[in-house]
Amino acid sequence: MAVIDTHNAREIAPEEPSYYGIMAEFDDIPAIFEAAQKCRDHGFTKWDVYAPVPIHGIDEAMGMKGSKVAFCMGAGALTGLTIAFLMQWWFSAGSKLPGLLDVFSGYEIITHGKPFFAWEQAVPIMFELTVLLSAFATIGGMLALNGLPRWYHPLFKKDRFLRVSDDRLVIAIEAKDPKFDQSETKAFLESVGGNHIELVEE
Amino acid sequence: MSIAPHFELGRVFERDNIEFRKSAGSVLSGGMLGVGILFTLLTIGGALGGDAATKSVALHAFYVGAIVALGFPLGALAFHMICNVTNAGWAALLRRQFENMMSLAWLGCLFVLCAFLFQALLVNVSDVTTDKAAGVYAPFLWNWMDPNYVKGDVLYDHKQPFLNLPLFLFLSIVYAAVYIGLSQVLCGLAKRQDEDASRWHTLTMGRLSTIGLVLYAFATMFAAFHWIMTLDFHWFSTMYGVYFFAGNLVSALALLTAIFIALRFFGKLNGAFTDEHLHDMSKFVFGFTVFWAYISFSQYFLIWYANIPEETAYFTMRRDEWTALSFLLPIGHFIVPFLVLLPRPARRNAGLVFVMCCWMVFMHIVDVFWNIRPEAKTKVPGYSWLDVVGVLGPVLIFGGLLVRKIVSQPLVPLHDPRTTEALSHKNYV
Repeated sequence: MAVIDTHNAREIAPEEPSYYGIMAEFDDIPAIFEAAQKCRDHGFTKWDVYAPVPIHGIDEAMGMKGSKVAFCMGAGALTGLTIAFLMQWWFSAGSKLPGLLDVFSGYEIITHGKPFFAWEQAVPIMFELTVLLSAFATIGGMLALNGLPRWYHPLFKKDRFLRVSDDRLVIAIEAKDPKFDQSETKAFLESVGGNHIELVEE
Repeated sequence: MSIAPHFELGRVFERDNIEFRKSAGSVLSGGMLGVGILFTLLTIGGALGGDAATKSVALHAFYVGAIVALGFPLGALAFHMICNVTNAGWAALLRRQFENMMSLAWLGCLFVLCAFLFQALLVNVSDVTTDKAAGVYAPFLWNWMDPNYVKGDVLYDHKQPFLNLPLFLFLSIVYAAVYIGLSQVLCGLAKRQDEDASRWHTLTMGRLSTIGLVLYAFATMFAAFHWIMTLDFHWFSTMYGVYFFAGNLVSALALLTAIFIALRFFGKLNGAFTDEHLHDMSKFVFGFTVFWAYISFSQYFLIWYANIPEETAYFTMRRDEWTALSFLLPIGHFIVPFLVLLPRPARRNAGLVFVMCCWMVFMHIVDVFWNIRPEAKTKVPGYSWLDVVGVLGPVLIFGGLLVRKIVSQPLVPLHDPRTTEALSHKNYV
């Protein structure tokens, strides 16, 4: 179909529609579980399983590696621990930081007749900031690794896909996958037991 | 689907997998018992032959061993009851080893009684009477039992309604009755289930454990106060019961995990104790190590902040006279296991976990030693050979009886209704 650009009054050559990938439906959980194992063994890397219920062991069947969120969390925890310690030491011990003006030195605050700085009093704050920053880093890292927030997904255009939050089980293989080939992948999904196989436009 | 037991039911329950030969472990248990009894006799001999200070050291060292030997069954009892109450399917086949350990609660209580009798013996044979002005002390374990020590002590007069011999003896019997009663009834139910295969015993265990945990909590709180905290009766810490509980639980879990790894090393428990169960056990060791650190730091922190003389004396004395141990404890009992067991692969590595578990058992002994041994009234602080034999005597006797108990019966419960769940247990995180 030719598209007329009315503003510039010229004809635009029809564009080849770009595809997000291919989706296939499966009948029940054992079927999709085995299909996932076959997709994994076939060497697909950019694909996903969509199901209305959690499927135990599906991550292993999909060949997923462990999450990297733990490293975000660890980084957040170490940052919080360090900041909390340095902050309290700087604030309460009247410490002068090298390279900074004296204006930036902390106050010597007398409380309870305790030393200006002691590790004991620093521990609760160190603990709190460690927990706080690791929680932030975990949430932030999780969102970043999942590519969230994201308001649109090509699969949402498919009416059949919308039922995946109700009673459908779907595997979608993305066109970005190096092993993706429109007809071959379609045949592959058929061979592992998929039905209602559809191309998904971008 | 791959969601099936890692091991077939029949093969797990093959005799080779869950039972030892009749004579197995007899050298180990006999050796531990023999050395333990020898060490205990040496302790008694050393105490009788030495002066009042030596007597006090021997008595305290023996009491350290007694409390360590009591702590293992108490920790196992608590964990067993928690598993019953939460209907923990993953631990269903590990239950038998918890039971083996907690069935020795009578031994720990007997050791505490022995320490009490040992004190009476030493006080009677010693001709020293306490004279605080001259710095001479009769070899008492619980100083408040010494009429010369508490004469004119205002704090003692104030605490006298709680700290008196009749109440101490009566409540000690109550604590021991709770511990021995709970462990024997639960072990009895497990044994009956092995015989009649009735799943109702599991339900009964769960119901009993709900009440049992409440009784256990009160008994442990006050046993910690009465049996250990009052060694220095001027000092007080409301956290002490929880501290005692945390130490017991981490040591019991560490010893149990080490036992499971050893059993698997000897080719037993295939399918019943998999990497998944190992992972969970080491999670608990890790978790309760952190719990111990949390409790012990809180105790120290509040006392540091409040700065009340009779509270801080407890810590300053340990810091000044037992400096090495005071620094070893937070590092060895918390920082090292925390960093080593933090990564997930480390918690699934049987060799590493075994080493860490042995280390945690050792650190628990150090912890109890640090709590009890400094209360010995000696002029010169320092270690003596009695510290080694005194502590190891009761611990080795406990170890010998535990090995004998383990090899004497099947290593898993035979008819637990949650067996399939236990076999197919898997960690998804």
